[in-house]
Amino acid sequence: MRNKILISLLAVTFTITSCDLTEEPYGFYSDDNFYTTQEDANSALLYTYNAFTFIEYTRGLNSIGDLPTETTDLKPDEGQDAQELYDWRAATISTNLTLENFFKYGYVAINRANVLIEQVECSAFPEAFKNQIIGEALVLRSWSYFHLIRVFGLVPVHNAPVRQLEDTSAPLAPSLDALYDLVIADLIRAEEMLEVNKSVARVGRVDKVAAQSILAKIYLTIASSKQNGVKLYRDMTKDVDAMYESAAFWAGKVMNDQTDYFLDPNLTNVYDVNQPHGPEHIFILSHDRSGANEGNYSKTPLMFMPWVNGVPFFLKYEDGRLVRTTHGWEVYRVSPSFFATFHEDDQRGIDLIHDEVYDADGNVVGSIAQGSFTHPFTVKYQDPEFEGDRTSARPFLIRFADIALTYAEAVGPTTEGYAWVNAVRARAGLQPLEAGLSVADFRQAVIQERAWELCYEGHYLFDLRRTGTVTTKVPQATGLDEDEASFYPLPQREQMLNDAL
Amino acid sequence: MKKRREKLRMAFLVIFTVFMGSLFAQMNGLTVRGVITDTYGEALPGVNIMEKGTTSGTITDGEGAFSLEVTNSDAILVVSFIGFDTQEVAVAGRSNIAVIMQESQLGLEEVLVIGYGTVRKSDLTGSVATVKVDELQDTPANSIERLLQGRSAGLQVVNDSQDPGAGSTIRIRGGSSLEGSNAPLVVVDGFPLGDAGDLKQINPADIASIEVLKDASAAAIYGSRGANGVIMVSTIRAAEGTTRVNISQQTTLSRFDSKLKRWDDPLLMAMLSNEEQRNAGLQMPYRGVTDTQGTYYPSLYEIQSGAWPYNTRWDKEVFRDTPVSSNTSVSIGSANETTSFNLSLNYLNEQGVYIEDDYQKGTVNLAVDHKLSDFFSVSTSNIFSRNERDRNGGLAYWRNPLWPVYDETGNYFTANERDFGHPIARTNHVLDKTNGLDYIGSYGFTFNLNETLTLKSQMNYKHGSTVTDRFNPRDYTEEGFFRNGAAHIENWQDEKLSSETFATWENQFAGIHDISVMGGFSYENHTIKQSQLRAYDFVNEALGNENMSAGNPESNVVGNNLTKRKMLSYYGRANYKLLDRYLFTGTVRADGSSVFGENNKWAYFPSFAVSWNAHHEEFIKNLMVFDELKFRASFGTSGNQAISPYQTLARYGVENYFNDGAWRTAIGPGYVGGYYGADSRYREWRGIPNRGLKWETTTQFNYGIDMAFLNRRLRITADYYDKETNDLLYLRYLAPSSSYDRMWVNGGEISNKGVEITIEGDIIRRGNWRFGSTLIYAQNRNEVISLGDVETTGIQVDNNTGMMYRPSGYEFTQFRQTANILAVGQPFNVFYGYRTDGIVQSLEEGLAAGMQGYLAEPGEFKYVDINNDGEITTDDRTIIGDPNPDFTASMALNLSYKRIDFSMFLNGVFGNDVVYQNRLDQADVRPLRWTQDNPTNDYPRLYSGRQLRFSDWFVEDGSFVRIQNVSLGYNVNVDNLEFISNLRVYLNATNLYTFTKFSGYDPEVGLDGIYWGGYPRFTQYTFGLNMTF
Repeated sequence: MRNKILISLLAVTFTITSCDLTEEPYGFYSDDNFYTTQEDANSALLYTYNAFTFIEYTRGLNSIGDLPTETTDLKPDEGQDAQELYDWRAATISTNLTLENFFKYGYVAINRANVLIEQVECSAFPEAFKNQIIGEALVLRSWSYFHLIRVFGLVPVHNAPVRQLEDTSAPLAPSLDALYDLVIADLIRAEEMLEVNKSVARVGRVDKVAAQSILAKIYLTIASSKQNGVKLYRDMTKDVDAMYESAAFWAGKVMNDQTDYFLDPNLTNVYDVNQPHGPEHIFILSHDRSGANEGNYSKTPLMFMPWVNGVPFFLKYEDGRLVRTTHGWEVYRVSPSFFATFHEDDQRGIDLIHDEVYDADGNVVGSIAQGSFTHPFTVKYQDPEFEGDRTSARPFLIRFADIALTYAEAVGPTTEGYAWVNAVRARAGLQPLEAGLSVADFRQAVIQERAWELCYEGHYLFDLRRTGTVTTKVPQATGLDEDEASFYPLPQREQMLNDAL
Repeated sequence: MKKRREKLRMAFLVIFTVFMGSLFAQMNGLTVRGVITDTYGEALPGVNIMEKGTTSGTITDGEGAFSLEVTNSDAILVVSFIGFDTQEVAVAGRSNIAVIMQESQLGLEEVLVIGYGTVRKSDLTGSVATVKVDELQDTPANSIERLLQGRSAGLQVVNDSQDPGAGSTIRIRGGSSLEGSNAPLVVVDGFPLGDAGDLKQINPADIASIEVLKDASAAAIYGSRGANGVIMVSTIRAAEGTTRVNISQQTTLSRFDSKLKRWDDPLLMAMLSNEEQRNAGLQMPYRGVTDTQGTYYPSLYEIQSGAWPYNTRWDKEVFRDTPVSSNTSVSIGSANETTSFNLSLNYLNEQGVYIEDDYQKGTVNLAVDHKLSDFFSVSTSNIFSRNERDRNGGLAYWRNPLWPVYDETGNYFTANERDFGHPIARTNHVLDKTNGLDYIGSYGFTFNLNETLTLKSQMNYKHGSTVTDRFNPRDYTEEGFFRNGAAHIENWQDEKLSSETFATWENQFAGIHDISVMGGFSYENHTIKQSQLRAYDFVNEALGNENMSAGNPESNVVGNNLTKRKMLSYYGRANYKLLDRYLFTGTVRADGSSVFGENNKWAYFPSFAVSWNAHHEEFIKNLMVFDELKFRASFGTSGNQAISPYQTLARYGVENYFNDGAWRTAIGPGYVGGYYGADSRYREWRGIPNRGLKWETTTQFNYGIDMAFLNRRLRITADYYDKETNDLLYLRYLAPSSSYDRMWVNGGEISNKGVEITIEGDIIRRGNWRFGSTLIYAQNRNEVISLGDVETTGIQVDNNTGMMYRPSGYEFTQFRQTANILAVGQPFNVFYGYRTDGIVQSLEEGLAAGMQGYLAEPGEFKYVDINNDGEITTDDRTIIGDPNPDFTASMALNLSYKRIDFSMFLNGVFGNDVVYQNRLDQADVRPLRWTQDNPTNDYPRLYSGRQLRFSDWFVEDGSFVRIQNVSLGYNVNVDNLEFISNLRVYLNATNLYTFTKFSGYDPEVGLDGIYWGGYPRFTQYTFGLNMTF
């Protein structure tokens, strides 16, 4: 009797106790419960795009692409990271958080793309679907590398997913040639996989034309950098003329082989927050004011708009339109000396850079003249339907005008070259470029045109760098040595923690 | 069939015997009278006298006299009284009996609860402290931990919050983890519940005893949860042969112990505000204009002349005059030979000092033990508790007194559209309430296989859940303003199921070898489930959060998550005692946990202890000095499962990307594990698994001595310990090109060394006088030995000393740094900042000292240029304080005379520093500012928007001695009242006075030493009544 009770009690206890100590994920996706369906793959592709929407990345576009150039002045009491970039403080730049973040988010996109590509390649999804996903992922990975190279030069290469501690350190690419070859091969592959696919539904996505555009930009960067003897590029084995030809080849495809993208005849439409699907936008980020967190929505307009009284105000355009906008923090300011370079008829100086703000009735409520703020400001980023500080203003990553000027610069002072640069000028209300320029003068004129056309869109520093003119054009960069001017150093954290360096 | 008949026959026999017995007793009834005295011949009132084997008994009256009817002349009386040895006295035909009670040899026969068993105090090898719970019962508390302050050496209790229902911070022998919990494990009746600090489910009046397991020998039996020590709580069980009904009522009144720091004179406030702006070259606010935000600031003239008539006493608006709390307990306990039960009910109502800031709790506790047969018994305990917290704290009593409560039209006066601080508006319109439900149950059986072998098994279940309702209306709150009304519901549920099964074998051989062996296993499954609902943008706010679908569906936010831990353990202990003199204990535990990495699934924790009862040796006995002399030594390891679940799995994140006109769910590798940078604007990416992740391991040596002298009236216990914790978990940084920021790894090392001394004395035991005292002294030296691998931890280096450190804790916006750092070679959380050398008195002096710009002007802080480089930079920082006390000490005094008892408890913390981070803003500091006419060296000038540096000016000595508790009680003479056996009334005061140099309200702050302000500490007066039937 006693033993029977005992045995049955023990049996019950053991049953309760039997247990498996393996941990199962709850409430989050992991390697073994994801990438199983096409919807998963689509979602993972959007996750890759998503890497570019965080302020860690979007702030870098302007803080690196514009702030360190003579186009931009900085709010005097802005934080240290922006000050270091604006002032070209080479001594401490390796710990600059803006640069570190921009570096990191480049790789965040790369790793997301790597995992996606690996998973989709070995999947049984239909071929067309695989091409679409892998093609877009390859473009995003290439875009990241291209940006990383332009900012940092030789960078580590991660072409496989990071899954464990051992994968977190990757060596530098052996040479710039090798690095560019990798990126170019990816893009050519993507260009074959993708279709031209432009629609309202695809705002914030890339297609075949984006792949062509990035290829054109890459070839032009190599060509001009090598021609100008820029560090690292001058050691490349590639031929300058062949590179210009390749740039012209790929940009030419964008100019001539498709009809979905073209120069928007109306300049201000390009910056209309409600027309992100406009013909100009080859690659534009996706933000929307209905988002819950910054990154989902954008505060980019606040970086440019003046504070005035800390309340919203109206902007007045040439045609008399009054457009409501949020006030801002006037962090990035149009430098008066750069403003002065615009031709007096240039709509890009007249309609896209302002120095007065208005009330709803069209009365001036703040201006430089009144002392409400000190600098002109660009209105490329603004959203009349802003909600508090939430806007839909999106960074313009690749515009048709950029590729048109890329094409012009690549082909030089040819008929097509003049045609495209003059098309851009005409839209801005300017006369055609002087005819009969030499190749060098023509290219210089195109690059100057790029400054006026693409300022505050994150391009100009790279134009300065590929022409080797950082130290001559940017007052704060005077006296820097070649290393400091050509590339930013790898972030200190990367240097310390990447064991493969 | 035959068996059944036998049973019936047995039952009949039993009934017959009992019946005949009582009949016989009636017939042979005999009344015994007598007087009971102590060895000094003083009569002892209240002594229990029972006839052995029956339920009849009585107690002595005020003169020590008793009278009891016994069944026959051979009856045996059992005479018992607290503090005296129980005696059995044979009546032997006498009708008048005098009994002299011998005072007990205190302590030695005490039985202590340790992990998976009990042990006689004299057989103890490890370091285990007992808290005398009955001394705490006069002070009401939501959870017992609040009362443990200073009551046990090495147990540190910090009650830094006075909010209703607030918990405490508990440490045993210092902190031993950087990222994990440092709270001890609390075990209630054999059920390991979790972190100590908020044991609100259990009414303190239901607690019978508390033991604190401090050293490895005692705590290692709890393995990977034992590194922070263990607090064993045992609840009340009815004693055999008694029936007791107890009612207790406590009513508490709270008052601030010091004056509020507020502006009595609004004109002075306004003048200083103007001065502050003017000094910084800014427009003065109080000049009778509306500023850009829309706030009208009256001019000084308007204030002075009375044209601006308002001077609001916001403190009167937001504080209750005297918060009243009450605590009512009723308990019924009864036990016979086979069944014992205890049922208790408690209702606690705590009023916060802020209006409508309340806490209520009801608890029901039912414990039943039943012996089914000689070899088999079952027991259960069920605690059910429900609480409700209505939050309305933090109201701005510091609000500008120039602002009235209501405007002319009777609406709330708000300074501008974005004035979200109106206390009355918030009180009336903001909803913030949490309802909690807790259940703790255990069901167990004990099986005595034979004389020596016992099997015990216990199933435990804990449930805790809370529902929080919040609504922030469009007007008066920031969130509501920006989101057009904001409604929240938050659900939280914590469930723990565990089972413990162990067998104990005890035997004695040849009269000199005592052996006991225990072995068992346990299983635990702990799940925490949370969900949140948020709705915004309400057309009509009348429903608050009652119907969240009334918000704009597009802005709804939902969230939920769950964490689960599973643990399987095997444990064992062996005790061997030779000749009652030499004691050996060995324990081992193996813990397997789901949160450990797959390469490190099992952890093993051994411990070993020896002790020597030297007072049993002839040569010690011959000294005639020691009643007890015992040496103890122990060594062992225990662990801390500081790992959150799922750190060893790859984890994907979920984000949104706006595509094709809508938000699309985006999923992929890496998730946001945290935020960093100014305003926490940057994301920290995690999700890369560490498959080798493991527990933190603490190795501890303990050497102790127990001594008793003078017939055990003086008792001393002293311990020295040396604890070292390694494999500390920390988040290492990864190369940014990996796309991940951080991952959990093991590394890092901390040491804690300390001394604990407890001295107890029964100073007076004469006649009706009793006077005793307990002194407790504890010191702990804490040192960070390593913060892990230098490169991967983000360690910074102090350029002057080479000291490696890492900022820790809250980053203060005014200082742009944290006050605390974790530094190699230093104690936990030392303060790191600048030294000051008074105030700059002239521009030349300021410039010479290395200051620049306006910071060199007269009236600014004069920082010390520590590295002598001619300027003040971040390299001039050094260690400027230590929040860890040099030592803590407490003294309890207990005095009684006849029916009156008096006790006083002093608690002190010595040698710790406190950061008074907002000292510059205080109403009692600002008027003392530096001016041309007051060139003080103690206070800087007022200067709006000054870039402050964190300096020693903000660091103060946080030492204090508090008259923590004074209690005066009277046991009413109830001899003539048949139905009442005990009636005690008392008056109890907590925090009667605090001796300190600290200039804020109170120096008892969190362990990081940061003082946040808030409101003064309470002095609380409790009127209590305790009745037993």
